[in-house]
Parts: sequence; structure tokens; C-alpha cells
Amino acid sequence: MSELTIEQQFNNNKPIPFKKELEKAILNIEKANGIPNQYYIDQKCMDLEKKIIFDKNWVAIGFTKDLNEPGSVKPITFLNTPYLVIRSKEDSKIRVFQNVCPHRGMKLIQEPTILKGAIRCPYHSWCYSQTGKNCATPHIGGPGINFHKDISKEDLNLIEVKSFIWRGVIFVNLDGKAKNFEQVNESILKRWELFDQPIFNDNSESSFNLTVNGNWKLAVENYLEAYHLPWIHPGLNSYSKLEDHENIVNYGHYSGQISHKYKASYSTAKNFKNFKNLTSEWDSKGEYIVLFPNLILGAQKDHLFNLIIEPIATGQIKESIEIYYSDPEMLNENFKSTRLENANLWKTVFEEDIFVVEGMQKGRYAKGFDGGKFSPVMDLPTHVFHDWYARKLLEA
Amino acid sequence: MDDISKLDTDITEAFQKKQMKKVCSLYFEAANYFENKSDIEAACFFYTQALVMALEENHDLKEKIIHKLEKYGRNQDTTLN
Repeated sequence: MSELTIEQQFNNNKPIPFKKELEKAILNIEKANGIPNQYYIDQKCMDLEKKIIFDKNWVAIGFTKDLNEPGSVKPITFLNTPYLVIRSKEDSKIRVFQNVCPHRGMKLIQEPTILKGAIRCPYHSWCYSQTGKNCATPHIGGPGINFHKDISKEDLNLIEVKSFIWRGVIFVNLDGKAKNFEQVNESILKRWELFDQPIFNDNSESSFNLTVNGNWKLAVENYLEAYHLPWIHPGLNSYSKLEDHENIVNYGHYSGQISHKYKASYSTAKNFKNFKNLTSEWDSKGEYIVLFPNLILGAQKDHLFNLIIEPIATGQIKESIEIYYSDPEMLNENFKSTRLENANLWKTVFEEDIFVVEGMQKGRYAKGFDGGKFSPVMDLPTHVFHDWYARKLLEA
Repeated sequence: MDDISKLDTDITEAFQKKQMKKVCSLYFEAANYFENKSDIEAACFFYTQALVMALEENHDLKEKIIHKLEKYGRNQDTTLN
């Protein structure tokens, strides 16, 4: 590890602290070390990470299932940035804005709700249409005078954030400078184009949250590899063994694992309908990918899941999980216990991982730990993530 | 209690009960009251109050209020969408 302390690393006007250590993460896997400890435990590194990793890239912040009805609005705070997601009554389109009034900076919407009309700031009642246009500046020119010659309404619209919807997930690019979502994620969109079909979520059994005392990167790393299955997920390993898995390696984009032994089997003896027009390889295949930085994805013939990792602090995350089915019939009452069994199965898997993520977080305080070594065979997907992360910082 | 004091009380009560559609109608009523007394300043104040509630509630009075405020030169380029 560098002999300089974290304070010295920042005070030496080095734009990227622990640069030498980060450079080791982009070496070939045989020679590489993982990302250094400070990026898991230090607030200054997290602040830098927010600017470079989260503000400049496409980040998952929420689910469209929370905005089914036209006029629905949901405030989402992600890494301290207040967002406002609206499905407009005017065109049914979902848009994302910064949840702030351009007047005095008041947070506009406090709770999810269904808007009847305009958004009214609770402070001075400036109003905005559901497409973000300013539509009233009451008393701005004095009592009863609602305009002023020096103030242009066009400058008072809500601040829209570049956004994209894919697989029921709302993505944002806060700085607005990232390439279009479809360009950045062309390879995974192509890989899973067969799943570009309607998906259905019941909003109850198929939704759950977990809080984990570990850095967000550890949750990503742990999901990427199958290496730990025999020890951490003995139940899962009993029908989908280590040798049934294959790495998914796409440097610069995403990584994960394939299980070639996916089998849908529930005690209710009911099976969910499969997605339409899948190729035969999906009969026994499941794919588990992380779209960097923070979206965990699962794809099987009969259901999908999305898990958004929200960093809360250097050592804490919230995981929000949604499971989706291929047909609205799967949301009927007669499938309720099967849905519940499926959700519990995944919940058990994600809960089994908590011990590991929290254990690795504690281990990151060991001064002698150099970011760790990678198995060139088993840890390739993890190295893809470290390489992606380190390059983003080094190229910033 | 005169008419305007009663309106004042009703507006406060409706506000407290979060009956915003009613708040809008009451502000509109207050504006009409002052307009009938040729107190245009006070009328425009209340029309403005009614307007923001009408926009939020998508109230039928919306267009009428905008018309009044534009008539008295108090609103310009009103955008509803």
C-alpha cells in the first residue's frame, strides 16, 4: 500500500488518490490487485466516486412499477441528490427532474402521490406542469402581479435529468454528458433482446428490500462470481453446482455468470409461463449480470429480477429487489403462493450473501490488505468490474 | 361576522383540512367580492391565490381565473402544459 495517508493523498493535489494502487487493478488478471481499501472505507474516496462513477454514468435509481398511473410522482433521493420522477398525464411519458424549485431551492415533492394537476411548490406556490414547465410565479412582481419584466419563465422550468427506461428500471445520467444509454449498453441490450417484451410485477410478494452493512462495490463483486456458491449457498448449490456455471466476461461493459442448470420447481407444483419466443438454450439457462455500477440483473425463462444497489454510506447499502413475470395471469391469486415461494427463494440467496459482504467490509480495515488477488479462472467477472471502476477513475 | 371575515375563516379551515379544491373556490369567491367593490388590487391578489390552487387541483375555474388576471394585466403568457 502507499505510504501516504488518505489526507496526504488528497492534499498533494493528486486528482485521484491511491492512483498507483488503482493502476494495479487494470493489469492482466494474473498480476492484478483489487481496488485499494480506502475506496471502501473512506468518505473522501466515496465523494470522489460519486462525482466520477455515479454522476457521469448511467445509474439505476428506481422502478417504473411505482409510476403506473398517469400523474403519479415519486421523490427519490439517491446519493443525496433529490430526484422527482413523474409519469405525466399529458403524454404518459416518465421524466426525471431534480426535486427542487428553481426559485429558492425548496424540495418540491415530499411523498409519492398522484398529481391532479400542476406541481405546486409548498413554499411560495410557484407551479410546474407535469412536463416540467413553469406555469405560475404568483406575486413575483408584487401582490397580485404574476410576472416581472426581468424574469423569463423559460429560465424557470424544472431541471430535467437525462433518463432512460429499460426492463422496468429508471436510469439517470446526472451530469447529462454520458453517451446515450443504448450506445453505452448496446452489448447487453443485444444479448437480452429476446426479453424485450412486457413484464409484470405484483408490487407485493415480488418486491422486497434489504439493508446491508457493506460498501456497494462488495455487493457487486459478490454477485458477479459463482466461486462462493458451494460454501455460502449450499441450497442453491445442490441443484446448480459450481461446475454448471460459466463466466460472462465483457471488459468495459458488464460481467456475471451463467447457470446451465436453471430449473423452475415449486412446492405448489405450478410453473410460471415462460417468456415468449425464447431460444431452446433458455430451457435450462439462467444469466446473472451486473450492469455497472449498481444494477444487479437476473434472467430466466419464466421470471426476471432487478436489484438496485443504493449506496447509503461507505459501509452501508440498501438493496431493492423486484421480480417480474411474463404474463399478467401470473399475478393472479392462484399464483400467489408460488410467487411468494419464488421471492423467498431469492430472498434467502440475497440474505445468505449479507454475511460475506459485511465480512469483506470489516476486512477492508486491515492495513496489510492490498486489494486482494484474483483467481484467473474463477474471479474473471470480478476483475472485469475492478478494471471498469479503476479505469473510470484513472481516465477522469 | 361580515362576509369577508367569514370567507377568511372558511379559507383557514379548508386549508387546515387540506381541502384544496374548496380553498380554490373560496379564494375565487373572495376575489369576486373585491372585484365587485372595485378593489382590483385585492381582487387580483385573491385571483392569484385561486390560480395556484386551481392549477394544482386541475380545477374547472382555471381558465376563468387566468382570463381575469390577463384582463387586469397581471398574467402574461400563461402556460398550462
